[in-house]
Amino acid sequence: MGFLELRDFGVDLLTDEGSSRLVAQVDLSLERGELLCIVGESGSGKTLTSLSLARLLEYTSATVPVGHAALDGEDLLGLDQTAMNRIRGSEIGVVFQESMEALNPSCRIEDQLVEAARRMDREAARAKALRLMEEVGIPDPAGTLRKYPHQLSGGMQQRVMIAMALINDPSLLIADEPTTALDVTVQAEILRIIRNEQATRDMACIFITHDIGVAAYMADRIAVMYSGRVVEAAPAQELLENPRHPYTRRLLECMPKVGRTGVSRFETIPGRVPNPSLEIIGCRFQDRCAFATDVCRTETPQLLPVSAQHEAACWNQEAVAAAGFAEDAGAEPGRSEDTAGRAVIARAEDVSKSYRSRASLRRSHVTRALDGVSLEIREGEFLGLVGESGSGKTTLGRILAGIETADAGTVSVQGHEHSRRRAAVRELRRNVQVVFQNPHGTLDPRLTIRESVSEPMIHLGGLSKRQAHARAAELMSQVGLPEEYLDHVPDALSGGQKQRVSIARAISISPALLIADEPTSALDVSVQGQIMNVLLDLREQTSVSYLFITHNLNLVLNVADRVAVMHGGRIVEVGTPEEIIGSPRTEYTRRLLAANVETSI
Amino acid sequence: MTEMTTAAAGAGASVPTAGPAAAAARARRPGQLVRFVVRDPSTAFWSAVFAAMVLLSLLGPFVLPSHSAMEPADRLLGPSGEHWFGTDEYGRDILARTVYAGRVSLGIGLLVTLIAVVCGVLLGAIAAWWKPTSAVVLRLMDGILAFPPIVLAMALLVTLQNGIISVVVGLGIVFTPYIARVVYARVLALKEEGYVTAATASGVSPVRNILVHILPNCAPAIFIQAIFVYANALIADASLSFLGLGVQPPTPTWGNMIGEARYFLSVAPTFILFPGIAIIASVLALNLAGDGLRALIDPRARAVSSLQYIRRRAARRRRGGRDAASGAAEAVSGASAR
Repeated sequence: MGFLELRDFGVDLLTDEGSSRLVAQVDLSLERGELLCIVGESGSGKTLTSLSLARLLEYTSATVPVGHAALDGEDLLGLDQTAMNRIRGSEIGVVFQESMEALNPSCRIEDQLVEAARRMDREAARAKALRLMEEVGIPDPAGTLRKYPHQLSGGMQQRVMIAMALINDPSLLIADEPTTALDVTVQAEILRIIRNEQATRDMACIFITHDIGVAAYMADRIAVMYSGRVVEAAPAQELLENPRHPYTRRLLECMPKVGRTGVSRFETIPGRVPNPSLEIIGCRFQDRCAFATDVCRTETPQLLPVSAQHEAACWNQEAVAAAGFAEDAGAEPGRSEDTAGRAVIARAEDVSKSYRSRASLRRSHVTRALDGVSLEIREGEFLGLVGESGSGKTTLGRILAGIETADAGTVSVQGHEHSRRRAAVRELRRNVQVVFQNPHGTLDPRLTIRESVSEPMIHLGGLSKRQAHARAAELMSQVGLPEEYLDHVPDALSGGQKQRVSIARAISISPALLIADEPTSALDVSVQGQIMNVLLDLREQTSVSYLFITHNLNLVLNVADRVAVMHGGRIVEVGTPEEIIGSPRTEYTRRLLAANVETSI
Repeated sequence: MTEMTTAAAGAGASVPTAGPAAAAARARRPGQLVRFVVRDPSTAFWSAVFAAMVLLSLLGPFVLPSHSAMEPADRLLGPSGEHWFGTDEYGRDILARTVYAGRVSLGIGLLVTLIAVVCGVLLGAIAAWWKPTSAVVLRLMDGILAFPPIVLAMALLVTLQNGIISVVVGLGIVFTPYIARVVYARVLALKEEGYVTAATASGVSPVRNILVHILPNCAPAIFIQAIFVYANALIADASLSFLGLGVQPPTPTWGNMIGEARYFLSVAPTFILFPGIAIIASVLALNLAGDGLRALIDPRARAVSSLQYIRRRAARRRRGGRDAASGAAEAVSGASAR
C-alpha cells in the first residue's frame, strides 16, 4: 500500500443530460518522499485527476470523483467536505498554475499566509510564514509579507504560493503546472525550490506538467495521461529511455531537442485527442498510432506491468520498444543558411518606445519597452527573436508591422519608411503580415473561415470577393487543412487549426515579411510541430522572410537562420544558432541557454 | 474544464457551434425553443408575457369596442359582463382604453429605445475607437446621467412642445447614455481582440472594422441593455403622462389613465387597477426576461437557477446510490453550471 493510493479512480462530469466519465481507470500509488509527474497535453485530464482527488473541483464544477483514493490509509472519497477541509488544511498543500488568480489581490501576503495556517496561533503562524518566505528564496521576507500580490513579480507570487502550500507541513503537495506562466529562467528557480522542499520534507508530491522536459528534470516517476486515461507509468529514467507506449514515444520525439540547428521538419502527432468522455472501442490512441493493429481497434488495452516498476497500456509494446526513435529531418549542426550577403527587406534603426501608465492620481509610470533597438531582416531569412516576457520583443514586432508607432527611430520595409500616409500604410500592410499568439482570439467568431481568409485579399490584394473566396481553397491546402473547413466558423476548429487559418490569411497576399508573434506558445507540443512544419514548408516554396518572435529558445535555435536575443528593451546578441549555442557573448544568453538545457531531454 | 470542452469540440466531424453568441441564436431557432423553455422556464414565461402584451395591444383594438365612444349615462361603472374592466368618468370602456393605451405606451417605449440605441451605439463606438473624442462624449454622457431621468425629461419637455414626438425625442436623449456606456466598454475591450488587430493588419478600414468585426460581436450586450432601457422608458413615459406632461388626453396612455383615475379612487376604485397592472406586468416581464437572456448570452454571468440546482442535486443522489463514493455526492454544495 502506497502513501497515496488511487485504485480505479475516475472523474465524472454531471450534465443535465446525465453523466459522462472524463477520467477513468487511474491506478497510481505514491510513497512519501516521491515526486510523481503527471504529463499530458491539454484535455488529457491531468489537472482533473489531481484536483479531484483533493476534492477541490466539486466547488467550481459539477464533477464527482469515483473509485478509490486513499491518503495514508484514509479514504478520501468517503469523507464529507468538512472532514476533507481538515485534511486539505493539514495533509494536502496545493500550488496552482495562476498565482495571480490564486492570491487575493486585496489582502497583504502576510494575512493570506496566516489565514492558511491551521492549529497555531497568530504569532506562531507569522513566525512560520517568515521562515517559509526565507526558505523559498524571497529576498527581504519581512518586507514582502507586508506587500500586496500585485506588487510582486510572477516568480515571487509563485514562491508565495509555495510557502502558503507548505505552511501546515503537508505530507502531500499537489503542484498544478506551477511554472507554465513563468519565464524559463524563473521556471528553473521555482522547479529547484519545489524539488528541494519535497526532498527535505520527505513529502509526496504530484507535479502536473505538459512539458516532458520539465518532468524529466523533476520526477522520480512519470505517469503519462492521454484522453483521460493513464497510458504509461514508470520511473523517470526508464520512461524516457525505454518508452513502451507509442504516445509517450511520440511526445518525446516531438520535443525540440537541445543543440540541433537547421531542422527542416519536426516530428508531430497527426490527428486530435479524442474527447475523454467519448466511449471508444479499443485503444484511445489507435487513430494516431503508427503501431496500431487489429486488436487495438477491438479491445481496450489495460495498464500491464512491463517490468517491476514500469507499466504501459499498449498491445504492441514489444514493437514500440524495438523501433528506433524518429529524428527531426535535417537536424544536423551547421545547417542553418548563411544569409549575410542577402538584400535587407526590413530594417529598424535606433527604435525606442515607452508606455505611460497611471500609477496613481498624481504619478504616472513610464515603461521603456524598447530602448534604441536596431535590427535587419534579410530576404528569405528565418530570423528568430527570443526574449522573456517584458523584453520588448512583441512591441518590436508590432512596430515593424505598423500596428504601433515608434516614439523615436526609423523603421522601413522594402525601402519604404513607415509613415501615417494612407498609401504608405497600405503598402506596408501589403508587404508585412502578422500571425498572432492567441489562436482563439485571432479569428472573428462570427465570420466563416472563408470570409476571414479572404479579408486581406479583398482589402489589400485588389481581388473581388469571388476571386478571393476561390483562392481561399488553394490556401487551405497550402496550410494542410481540408477545404470543407472554409464554411465553418472558428468555434468548430481546434487551436492548431485556427493557427493554420491565420497563417493562410497572412500568406494570402504573398507578403515579403511574415511576423509570427509566439504562434505556437498556446499550443501543445505535438501541434507546435505541425505549425512549425507549415511555416518551414512555406519557406521552401516562397521567398518569404520570417520574424519569429518566441520565448522558446530551443525551438528557434532548431530552425532559425539567425537569432536575436532581447532583454530589457535591448537586443543583447545577434548571431547564427551555432554562434549562440557555441559561444554566447553575453551573460544573459548564457543564463537562458543553461535554463533551457536543464529542462529538456 | 475549459480544456476539456476544447477537446470535445474536436471529437466529431460535425460542426459544433459553441460560444455565447451561438447560444442565443440556438435559443431562437424553433427546434430548440422547446429545449429553451424546459431549461429556463422563468425566462420563457416572462418573454411570453411580454409578447402577449404586445400582441394584445396590436390586435385588441380591432376586436374591442371603440376606446373613445362616450356613454355619459354609464359613468364610472365597476366591472361587468358588458364592460369587463368597467367604465371611466366619461363612460368609456376601460378595457378598450387600457389595450389601446398599450399601443401608445409600448410604441413610445420602442421608439425611445430605438433612438437611444442608434445614438448610443454611434457615440459609444466613436468615443471608444477614436480616443481624443472620448473625453467630450463621455463627459456629455455623464452630464445627462447626472440628472434623474424624469427630471431631465420634464425639463426637456417644457422646452420642447408637449406631444408624442417631444416625449420620444426627450426620453431618447435621456436614455442614450445607458446604451453608450455599454457600447463604449465593449468596443474598448473588443478593440484589443486579436481578430480586430488582424483585420487592421489585413487592410480593413476603421469604419468597416467597427461595422463588420466589432458591432456584431457586441450586439448581444446591446440587445440586453436595450431591453432594460425599454423597461425604464415605459416607467418614465408613464410618470410623465401621470404628471400631465407628454401625451395629452383624450389619447390614452397607461400613465395618464392612472392620472385621471386617481381623482375617482373613492367612487370607482377598480378604475386605477387595470392600467396599473398593465404597467407592472410589462415592466416586470421585460426586466425578468432581460435578466434571463443575459445569463443565456453571457454564461459567465449565469447563476444556477434554483430549478437547475435541484435537478443536479437529484442527479447526484441517484449516482450516489450506485457508487461507492456516495458520501461525496451529499457534500457537494453550490456547484455552478460552469
